[in-house]
Amino acid sequence: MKDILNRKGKDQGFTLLEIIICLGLIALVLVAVFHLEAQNLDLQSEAQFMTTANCLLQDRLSQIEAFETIEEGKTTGDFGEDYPDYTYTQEVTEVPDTETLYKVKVAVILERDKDRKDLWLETYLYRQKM
Amino acid sequence: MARNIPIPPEDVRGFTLLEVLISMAILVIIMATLYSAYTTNVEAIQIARQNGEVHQAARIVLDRMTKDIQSALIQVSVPSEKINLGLVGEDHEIDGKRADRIDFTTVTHLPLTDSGPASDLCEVGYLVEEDSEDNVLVLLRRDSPSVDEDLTKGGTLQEMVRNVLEFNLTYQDSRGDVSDTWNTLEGRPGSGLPVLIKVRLVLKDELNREHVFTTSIHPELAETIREQ
Repeated sequence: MKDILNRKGKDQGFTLLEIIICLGLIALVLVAVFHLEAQNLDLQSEAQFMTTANCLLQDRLSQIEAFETIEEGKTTGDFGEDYPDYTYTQEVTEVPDTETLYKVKVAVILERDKDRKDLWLETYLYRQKM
Repeated sequence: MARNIPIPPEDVRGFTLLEVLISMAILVIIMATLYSAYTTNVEAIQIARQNGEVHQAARIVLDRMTKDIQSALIQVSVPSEKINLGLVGEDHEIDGKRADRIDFTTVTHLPLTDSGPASDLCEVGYLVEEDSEDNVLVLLRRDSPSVDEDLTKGGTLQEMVRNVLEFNLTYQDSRGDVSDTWNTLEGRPGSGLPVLIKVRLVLKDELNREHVFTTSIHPELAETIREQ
């Protein structure tokens, strides 16, 4: 090991071990950097999904709010050709003993390349019995 | 002269040409890989940044528009000469692109001007105009704290977002009929607020990619005012 620091007289190159350790270190650093990069992009797409999903959630909820009657049950659907990978499920249940209050649960789901993201929203809506 | 140059001993001589060539070739291969990884990264960052900017702009616009429309306030009586509360949505096109316009009275006045104290009641409008310098469409928000007989004029214009490719509004009544225009000032029966306003906003980023944003807004007072 002394030879690493003390090379006077002998002009030998690096040993194989030194090169391997050095390459290993470089590889480690590069992996860390690229991993960080990938994580960053992941976060970015997550934030993007939040914006879109928020718009679509509001879209669904406004449509439920806009109509005079609310029907109980679970429905699913999509958002047309603008959002090919997005679907929604909505679940409406009447709150027991109230007759005028409905619990509405809406989810926007994005399924793309085996990757699944979803955003849920739950709210209560009031409707007068006709 | 030549004698003065010391002749290096066997074991201190430099590299051979072959060694240098091989090492350079390896170096080039490594650099090329690293460079391509680097450029891909830079491209990805650029795209991500553009996405972020466009999404943020759209979020601000749609959020503001939602608040304004949800609080829209109208009167159902016949139009008067002094003050008119209502909602007027018109179809427009600029260079073949949908660039609709909506004007309404609401209670979400933003005190951005130094025109003194004002009530919450105001006229708000969203319209698209062409910027003659850049040749792009710009979405503007009009806010007028003085409500008068013409609810489509007056007030200050504020730029909301540039590079608009499409701004399309459709209105839906309580029976589910969809219309491209809406006017509560015509005084015909059932001309209250629409129960649903669908917004479609298409923006272009600096890399010329299109981003589509759609949402629906339900004016909270739609039913209440209709029932009266």
